[in-house]
Formats: sequence, structure tokens, C-alpha cells
Amino acid sequence: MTESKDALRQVVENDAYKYGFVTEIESDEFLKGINEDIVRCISHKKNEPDWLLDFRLKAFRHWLTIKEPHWGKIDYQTIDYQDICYYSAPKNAAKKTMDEVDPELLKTYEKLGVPLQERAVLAGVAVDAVFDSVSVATTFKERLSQQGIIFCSISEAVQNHSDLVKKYLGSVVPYTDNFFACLNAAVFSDGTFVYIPKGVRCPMELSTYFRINAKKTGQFERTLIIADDSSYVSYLEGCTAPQRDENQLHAAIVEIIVLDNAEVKYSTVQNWYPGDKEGRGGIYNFVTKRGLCAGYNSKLSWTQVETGSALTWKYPSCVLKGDNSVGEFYSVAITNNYQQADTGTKMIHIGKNTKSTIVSKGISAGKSQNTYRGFVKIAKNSENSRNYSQCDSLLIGNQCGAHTLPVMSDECPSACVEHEATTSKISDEQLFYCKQRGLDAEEAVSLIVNGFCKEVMQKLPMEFAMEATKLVAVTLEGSVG
Amino acid sequence: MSAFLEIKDLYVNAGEKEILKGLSLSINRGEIHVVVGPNGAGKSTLSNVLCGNELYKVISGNIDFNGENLLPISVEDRARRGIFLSFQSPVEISGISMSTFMKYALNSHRKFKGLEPLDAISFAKHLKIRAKALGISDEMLKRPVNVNCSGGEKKRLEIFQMAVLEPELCILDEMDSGMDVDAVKIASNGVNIMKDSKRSFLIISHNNDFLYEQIKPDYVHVLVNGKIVKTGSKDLLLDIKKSGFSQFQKEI
Amino acid sequence: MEQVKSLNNFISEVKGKSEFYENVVDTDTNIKVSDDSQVFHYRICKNVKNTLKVSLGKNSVYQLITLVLGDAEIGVDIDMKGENSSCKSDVVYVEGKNGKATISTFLQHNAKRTKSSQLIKGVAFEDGKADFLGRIYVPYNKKEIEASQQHRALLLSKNALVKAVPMLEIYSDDVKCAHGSAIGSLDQEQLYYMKTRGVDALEAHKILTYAFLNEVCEGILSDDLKNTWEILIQECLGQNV
Repeated sequence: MTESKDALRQVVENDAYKYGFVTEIESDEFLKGINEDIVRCISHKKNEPDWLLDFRLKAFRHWLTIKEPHWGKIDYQTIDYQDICYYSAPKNAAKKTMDEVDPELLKTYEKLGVPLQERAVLAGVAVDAVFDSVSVATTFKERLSQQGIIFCSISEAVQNHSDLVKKYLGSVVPYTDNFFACLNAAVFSDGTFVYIPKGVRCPMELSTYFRINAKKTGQFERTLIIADDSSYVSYLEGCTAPQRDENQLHAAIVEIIVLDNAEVKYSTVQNWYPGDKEGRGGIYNFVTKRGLCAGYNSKLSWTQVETGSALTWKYPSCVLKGDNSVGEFYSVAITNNYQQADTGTKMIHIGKNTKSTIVSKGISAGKSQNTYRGFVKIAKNSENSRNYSQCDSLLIGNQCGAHTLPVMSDECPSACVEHEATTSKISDEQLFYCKQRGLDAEEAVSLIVNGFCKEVMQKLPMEFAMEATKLVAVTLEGSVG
Repeated sequence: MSAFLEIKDLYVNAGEKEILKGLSLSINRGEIHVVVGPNGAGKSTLSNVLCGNELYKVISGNIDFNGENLLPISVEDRARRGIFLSFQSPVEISGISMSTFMKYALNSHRKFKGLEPLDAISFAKHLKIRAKALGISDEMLKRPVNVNCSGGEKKRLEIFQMAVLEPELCILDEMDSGMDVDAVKIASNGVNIMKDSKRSFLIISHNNDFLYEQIKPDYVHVLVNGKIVKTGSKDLLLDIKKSGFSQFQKEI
Repeated sequence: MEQVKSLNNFISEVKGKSEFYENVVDTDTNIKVSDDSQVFHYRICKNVKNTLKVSLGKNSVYQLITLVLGDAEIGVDIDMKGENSSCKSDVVYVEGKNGKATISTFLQHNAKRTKSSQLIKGVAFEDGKADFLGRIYVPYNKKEIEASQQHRALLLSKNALVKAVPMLEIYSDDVKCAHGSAIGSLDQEQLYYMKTRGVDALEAHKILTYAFLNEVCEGILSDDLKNTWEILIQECLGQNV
């Protein structure tokens, strides 16, 4: 708690977003705009095989025929896609060894707290740091490769493990899925590739840090995780971005495939720049994340704490195809000032005896709008399947909105779908009670909000849980008058 | 020498309604004062206004605490200066255990006094001693604040919090309502354990027997229609038990 | 209390305390409940398409129970315009062979200190289908609002389908809102218990299904009407449950 107060004070005193700085590095940028030539150029620069260029072109041609979605409860101006630069890589790009990495870059990572140095081994975290579209230093892959685990950039995977990538890329989120997924399929720059072989339990938590640096560069990251039979991996995703005045687009895709008896745990702490107090600037975060529990007894769990972005449009989902498979979604989404979030999850039950659990905690403050949108579908033959959802919204102040839109569809009589939701506010009585015990308003709110989110926070890996708790306090700064 | 707590001619409104109409009261260090009165007299208003609850507006008058004007001071700063209110109906806070809540509160008090926060072991010890003395189980400490607690358990936990935070002025609002006989004993035991020459108590109550027999107050005040109409020794309680409050209401 | 009488579709202003039953037809119904009134309204919607629009005056209390059978598209729109008004809108639906019910409720808390509660219970069997959309809306700056909504459905056969969307749209913070939705099958323990008391499986099924739906019907004040509804429901459930 003392830590979170320090973080709070830091932000208040500096009057700046903690990570609001820009690294002065030469970039290798394309001109703005998107057309077929740009797509070809991206593929060429990365030395991609024909099948992948083909994939991109098909997606791009399809993208030209579809329209930007405006159906969510998010209000935003149409994005000018010609005003964005689709490729920017620091000149001193990825090298073989740590010694050859640009020291400026390494300093950036240190500021961000990315444990790129060898001492990170003791912390047991391997990091694939993505910097402006090209993965820079991939650490520990040699150590992981001893167990047959592949943890590298997508670009590298395309070169060295082409068959694997070709087999699974686009199998969970096809380019036809939605507008932003389609754009991503055409222009995705880089991302993480993970493959855990049969029977292997990944010994360390894998993580990736994202960063958008160059002006007007949208990030189109693509992550592909494959957990083969009886394997296990826990993946952490944490993002930071510098302060900007113009909105920046982030349209990423995460695809996860879980085979028989395997388990994947995907955790995210997202604090992209949310825009200033007047609602200017901030990241537009349109992400498609989906996992296919293809195997018997496969399990996928999504845990996220979302506090950043000006706009968030994100529905991590599970397709429960394998019998006995399990999908989980634990989320805390906080919006303040003028942020807008339309987030939630989809659980599609196809196999028998499948189970899904959804726990969503939304907190709205300031003039923000926070919507939970859920979709649970139980197909006809998904016998004995079960879903349980709990969505709670907490409103702070009377200028914000909290909305819940769960859609449940059950076609199987032996299945059971249960949903509960509550909307409430931090009562004046609770605030007075905490203050009478010596806590000031902000401490009280922080305490009550952390209590509200406890069920979700407990699902996060330890190091993320601490960062998440701090983030909650920083995001709600100034929300209680 | 001025009193530890000095309330002079206090007029307090709740919304448009005038509740306290020129209330005056003095409490010295180490004294136990009891305030009794009929419903609607202003007893809860008194305890809430001392703590700084913004629902109650002070129209005129003074409250001095330890030589300092209390009126401009915020709720939490009054608490850190040593004022504690045991609520009549304590609110629930889910997701935070009682022990975690006490950790934050206690460290907030300590910080105000320029002290370092207690380390985990010292804190656990601090809590355990008091929990044992007041019959609070480990399970109750782990439960979220006041959640699924009976009226009696809530009151016990209020007394427990008082023991943990070691305040200088303890205001007990209707401490004895809704509790069973054993719980009343534990509550009054808590008061008796905590009373000393530096700590003062302001107890607001209905129940004469409990007060007279278990607590043995130094002064008894009768609050009727927003004012203290009579102050006496604990024998005044016997008087009220016999004749009720009407004798005081006639005097107005 | 007034004798229960039928309400044909027109704009009507209702004062005092009254009870109405309505055999709903395809024309929309508009009702205005005056300040300080109390209205009990029962509707049978069988093979119809109808939207009911109700506006509530200050301190008024409106209790609605709707029975939906067969092919029906029903809308219920309740505007709590008056301060301190409250409403209870319950629905029971039974969808069997070829039946399809689309039920949308839209409850707006347009004044402070308004309360709403909804209980929707339904059964889908054979190839019956039900689509429930329950929207609760609380605009900016409305104080002391309480709203609750519970939807429970039983799916009794492989070709039946129930879809539920309980929606909360909240723009004010002085709100206590709760909603829940559960779709599933009969409690196996309860079935077993009945069988151990000698009741045969089919009979037990019927009894439990009816008991499930009855929670809503218990709200009907008039015994005669309650009986009529009971017969209608049992006819619909027939041999097919």
C-alpha cells in the first residue's frame, strides 16, 4: 500500500505519465499510408516465404471491402488509415548476442523495468521485448530450446519453423473474423511465437513488453502460442507507451491453440497511455484474442487488468471444442476521465462436459464509459456443459457509465448457464467508515477497489499482481473529490 | 485548565432540520461520560458531528479537542488525532479482511505520529493479543470487514478495532443495542481494559443496567431535544430507570 | 378492490387501486398510471405481437404479470417518470411444439427513488424457442435507484433453445442493480427425491416444471384468474414435458 501511495505521489508530483518519455533513436520508417505495395514491402523486408505474402494479400484485399465497426458503446471518429505508418524498426535491430544490442535500447528497457540482463535468470523470467515492430533481444531462448521450447519472434519463427507457423497462423482468428483482425493479417509486423512440445511444463513465466514509440505508428502485433499435448505454459503480457497528443492505433491478434491435456495461462496488465484529463490523445486498443481448446481436457485461462488506453475493444475468448475442456476469464477493467471501454469475453461450448467461468469487475470513474459485453453459447451437443458468469460494476462519481450486456444462448438441455451481475457504488458510509479509521479518501477508495477486484487479482502471477495493484491506484487518482 | 474535549453551544443541522440546539459538554482526560436520552434527541448526531461526518452541518458553536479547534479538521485527521467512533451499524466492506483493514488504519495513524509502519510480525502480535482478550477468532480476522457478521459480532469487532488503534477519545454509539448478554460483557470488559488516566470515553446508550453495573461512569448527561438538560453522577441512571425521560422533557 | 375486468387496447389513465386482466391482441397497448395509484395488470399473450407502453406517475405502484404462449413477440416498456414510483414486471413463458417467443422488456428509471424488479421464468421443450432481452436503463443523475432482474429457464429437450440477454445501462452512481440469468434443466436431486416417494418419472417431471413456473403465478391476487392460468399452462405443457 505504501508503494502504491508512492506511485501516486510520483505521478501527482511529476504531473506526467510515468512512462511518458521518448527514446531518440533513428527509425527505419515507411512513408504513411497503406496499399498493396506497402504490404508487399513489409513481406519483402522480412524475407517472408510466398505462402505468407499470399496470406497478407488475401487479407488486405478483403479488408478493402469491409467497414470499420461502430456498433460497440464506443464513440470514436473514423480513423484515417492512410495517415498511419505501417512499419518502423529501430536501425539497430535484432542481433545475435546481447553485446551487440544498441545500448540506448537497453537503457529504454531498463527504464521500463524489462529484465533483459542475465540477472533476470534468478527472477526466472524470459523476455521477448518488442520495440516498434521488430523483436530486439530474445533472451533465454537458448535455455528454453534445451527443452524443445520455442520462444521467439514471429519473424524468426517464420524463418526457422515455417511449417508450424503455416499450420496454425489464422486458424483461430481468420482474417475474415473482423475489421481489425483483417488489417492485422495484412500488415502485422511482429510479435511472439511460442511452442511448447508434448509433455513439457515450461519452467519459467514467459513475457513480452510492448512499446509504441515512433509517431503515428500503429502497432500490429501478432502472437501465436501452441501448447502441444500435456504441456503447460504461463504467459505474461504487459504494455507501456509514451505520451502523445494524437491517438495511436493498436490492433493486435493473439491466437492460442491448446491440445490434449494441455494448459495455457495468459495474463495481461495493460496500461497503454489513456489520454490526458481532458480526453486528448491516448491509445486506441482494438485487439482480437482467442484461444481454441482443441484437445480433450485442455484448459485456457485469460486474466487481465486493463487500466489504460483511450478506447478499448477487446474480447478474449475461448472456443471449447475438446470434450472436458475448460475456459476461464478473469478481468478487471478500470476507466477514468474520458476513457471508453467495451470489453468482455466469448465462451463457445462445443464439446461435451466443457466448463467456463467468467469473473469480470468493471470500475468506472470520471466521465468514462465502461461496458461489459459477453457471449456464452452452448451448442446442441455440448452435453453437461456448464458456464458461470459474475459481472460486477462499481461506479465512482455520477458522470460515468457502467453497462452490462451478456448474451447467453443455450441449445442443450443438459447444460447449465448461470449469470449474475451487480452494479453499485462506493457508498458514502464505506468512505466515512474508512476515514474514521484514519485513511484518507484516496487510500479508502484504493482499499475498497482492491477488495472489489480481489478475486481477479488473485489469479495473476505474483509479480504482475503487485504492478496491477499499483496501477489501480494510479488510474483512479483524482477520481474521488 | 480547559477540558480535553470541550463542546460549547453547538447548533447542528441534518439537512434542513435543526437537531442539536446549543449543546455544551466537557470531558477531561481519563473520564467516562455517558449520554442518555429519548429517541430523536440527537445522540447519534452528537457522535457523528464529533467525527466530522459531512452529513451534519455545524451552524454555530465550538468543538475543541486537546486545545485545538476540531471543526476545520477532516474525518481522517480527527481519527489520526485519536478520536474513535464505534458505529451503531457498522458498514460491510467485501474483499478486504479485518486484519488487512487494521494494518492500513494502524499504519496511517503511526505515519501521522511520525512512526514507521509496524513490520508483519509485530503487527500480528499486536492484533493477536487484543483478539484473544476480546474473544475474536482467527477466522473472524480473516473474514472481509463485517461481512456475514451478526449484530453482536459486528459490535465486538468495533471494540476490537478500538483496542487495535488505541484512541484517546472513544465514542461508543449505542454500544449495547443488539448484543446478547455475553457480548455485552465482552464489550464492557473491553472498555474496562482500555480505560486509563489518559483515555476518555463518551458512551451513548439506552441501556441503564449495563452502564451502571458494568462500566461505572464518572458523569451522566441527559440529552433531550438537542441539548444537555441535566448532568449528574451515575446515580442519575437509577433515577431515569425509575422515572424515564419525561421529567426532563417537562422542564423544557 | 375493483372486480377484475378486461382491458381493451387504448390509452387509459388509471387512478386509485385497480386490477385488470387482458387477453392481448395485435394492437399495442398504452397505459398511464396516475400519481399515487396502485395497479395490478395480468396479460395473456398467446400467438400475438404486441408492445405494452406504461408510464408511471409519482408514488405509483405497478405490478404486471405476463403469460406468454405459442408464437409471440412481446415488448414491455415501462417508463418510471414519477418520483418514488415502483414496478414489478414478471413473465412466465411456455414454448413447446413450434412455439417461438421473443420477449423484450425495457425499464427506464427516469426519476429518482424509483424501484423495479423483474422475475422471468420459462420453459422450452420439443422444438420450442425463447429469446429474452431485458434492458434496464438509468440515466445521468438519478438518485436512490434500485433495480433487479432474474431470468430462469428450463430447457427440456434437445431441440429447444433459450437465448437471454439481460442488459444494464447505467449512467448514474446512486444505483443498486442486480440481475441474474440461469438456463438449465430440472434439478436431478429433486426428481430423485420425488421418485423415492413413489411418484413416477413423468409425473415428477411435470410437477417440478409446473412448480418452477408457479413462482410467478403466485403473484396473481385473484384466485379465479390464477386457476385459469394454471389450466392454460398445464394444457400447454401437456403430455410433452
